[in-house]
Amino acid sequence: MGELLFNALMLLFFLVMGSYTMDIRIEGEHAGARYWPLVMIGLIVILLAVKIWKIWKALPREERRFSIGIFKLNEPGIQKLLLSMAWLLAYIIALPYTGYVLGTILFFAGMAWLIGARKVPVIVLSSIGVTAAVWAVFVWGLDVHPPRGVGILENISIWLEYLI
Amino acid sequence: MTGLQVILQVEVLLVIVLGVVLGVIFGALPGVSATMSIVLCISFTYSMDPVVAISFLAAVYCASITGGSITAILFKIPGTPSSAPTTLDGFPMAQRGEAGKALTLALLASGFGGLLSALVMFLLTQPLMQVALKFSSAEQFAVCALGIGILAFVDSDRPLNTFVSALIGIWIATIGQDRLSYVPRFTFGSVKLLDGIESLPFMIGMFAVVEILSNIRNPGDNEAMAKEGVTGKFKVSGLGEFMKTKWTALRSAVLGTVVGIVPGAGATIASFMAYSVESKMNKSPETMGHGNPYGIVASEAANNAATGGAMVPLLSMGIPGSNAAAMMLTALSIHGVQMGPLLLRTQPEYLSATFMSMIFANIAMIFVSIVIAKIFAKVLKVPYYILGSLIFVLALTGCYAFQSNMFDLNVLFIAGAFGYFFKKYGFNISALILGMVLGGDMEYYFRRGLLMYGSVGRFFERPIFTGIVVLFAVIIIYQVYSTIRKKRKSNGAAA
Repeated sequence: MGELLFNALMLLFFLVMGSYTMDIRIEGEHAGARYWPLVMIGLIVILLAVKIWKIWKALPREERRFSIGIFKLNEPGIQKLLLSMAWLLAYIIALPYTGYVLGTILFFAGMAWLIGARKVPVIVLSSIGVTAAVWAVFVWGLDVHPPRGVGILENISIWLEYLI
Repeated sequence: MTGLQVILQVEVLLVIVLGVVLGVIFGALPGVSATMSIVLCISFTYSMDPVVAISFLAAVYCASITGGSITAILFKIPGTPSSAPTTLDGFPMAQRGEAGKALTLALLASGFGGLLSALVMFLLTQPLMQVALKFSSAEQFAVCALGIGILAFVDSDRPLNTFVSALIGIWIATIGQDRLSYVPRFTFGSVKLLDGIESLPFMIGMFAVVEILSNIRNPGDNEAMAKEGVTGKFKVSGLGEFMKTKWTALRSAVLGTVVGIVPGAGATIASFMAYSVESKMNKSPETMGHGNPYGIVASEAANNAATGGAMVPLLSMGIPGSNAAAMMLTALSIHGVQMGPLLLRTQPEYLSATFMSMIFANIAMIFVSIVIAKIFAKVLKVPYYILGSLIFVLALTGCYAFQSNMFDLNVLFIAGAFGYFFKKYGFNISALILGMVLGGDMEYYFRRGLLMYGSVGRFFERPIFTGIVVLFAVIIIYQVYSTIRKKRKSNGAAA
């Protein structure tokens, strides 16, 4: 059922994109900017429809209904997965404000805990150590300037960047 | 300066050795494929000279394929998918105390396969480039379509899924400003999307993030396997053992090179095919899978040979022969290097630099791998929560470092989240990436061809175009025929 849902969502997405395709401006060219994406989307929609039909046919009758249970949200593996995605998203959103150093330390610590680390000293030391090592390689070694953050965090980042 | 002169500079040699070390380590780490190794190392090349960058990445590529054999033999965990057949004979050999012999055979076979394919790459690429220079838009469109079509139809298990994946990749390539008319497409008013979806952050999301999320969802137990593995001291054996398997190595290396040239059919397919051939041709087929050294040689010679093979269409026509080659294409486009037939005219040093770096890397990796093999048991004891989080941080930092642009991290997240379910429900990430990489050129050449010739029918007036279409049709017909035959056999067996 999950596979059916995913394919159906993709089909819906491409139907919407197909409708947007008609808004693409063309200026009387033989094969303008609109036609190639229209052909691709048309093929995708047809093939996804065929896929959905095949999946539906292969599903046993008792599984042919939607319920929240298909997402298996009470499974620990699924919970870890969703939390990892949420943590990654939180890191990306917060990065311009926390700056690279604090943001990455927190991200690493959180991700390590999600994956299975439980000893606090190990989490703290490894997150600081890895962040420092990656910082050294990218900022001092490759002259990359990661997000500095705001306020005092920005000042600390600038101080670290020009330490060497 | 020729490629050889560039490579022989001390700092460049050191960069290649660094690439070999990183490649072997990443390749040996389970869950980090050769493609991911390149993804993680691309960020180190931003400040490098393009010739040095391609040398570094070629070294990482060759070495990561080899690195996979270390854990395959010692711990029965293939470090890369292409080393999976190596576990079948490598681990039994290690268990009976022949770890040193197994490793020596694997490393020498890898080096031999890599060297042979590098030579083939160098000899084939220039003539192919000369042929490709005669291509007009019609032929270039046909070659791109052939590359995608071969991938879609070679994956005979799920050709529908693979084809849809490729089409989605081609559609993603249409996002942004149209190359011919400059009309914005699917940008929804966003200035950031006018340049399209950058392939590097997308690929990092699709390969690295998806892999880590998959490991979080279904954790393996590398530590437990490492405890069962062979970690005692082992002695490296000499060249004599390898010379007994020389014909197997040669056959597998040739097979691997040919498979590597086919777009989408990379090192993994090469190693499985070579192992399968060796199983049929070996004097003692009943011992295959139970510690037969020929099995190791077949698998490792083929998977490394595929690296050179994959570089042939990449350098000559700008068509990547594997995922890893697609990553290298992206990395080099960052440096303004345009792969394809004009490379020989505009930047000839790239071809010789790639050749020389692969030669040097294949030799260096034999020695580096032996050193790393002896200490790798300790690396595997590092818990995955450290390794996985480290890979995540490297991937994110590398992605940001590309353009110092937060939007790239957004692309990475969307690609990673979408890619997880995309892979879970049976779609083909490699096909999507190939579609994305080639889709822009496909459309451009198709529409330019229409402008030049007026209709698709007139494309067939060109013999090279017709030849490519005929080849494509033959491949499709053969694949459809073998799929139908397989289905009939399995229906017959079921009855």
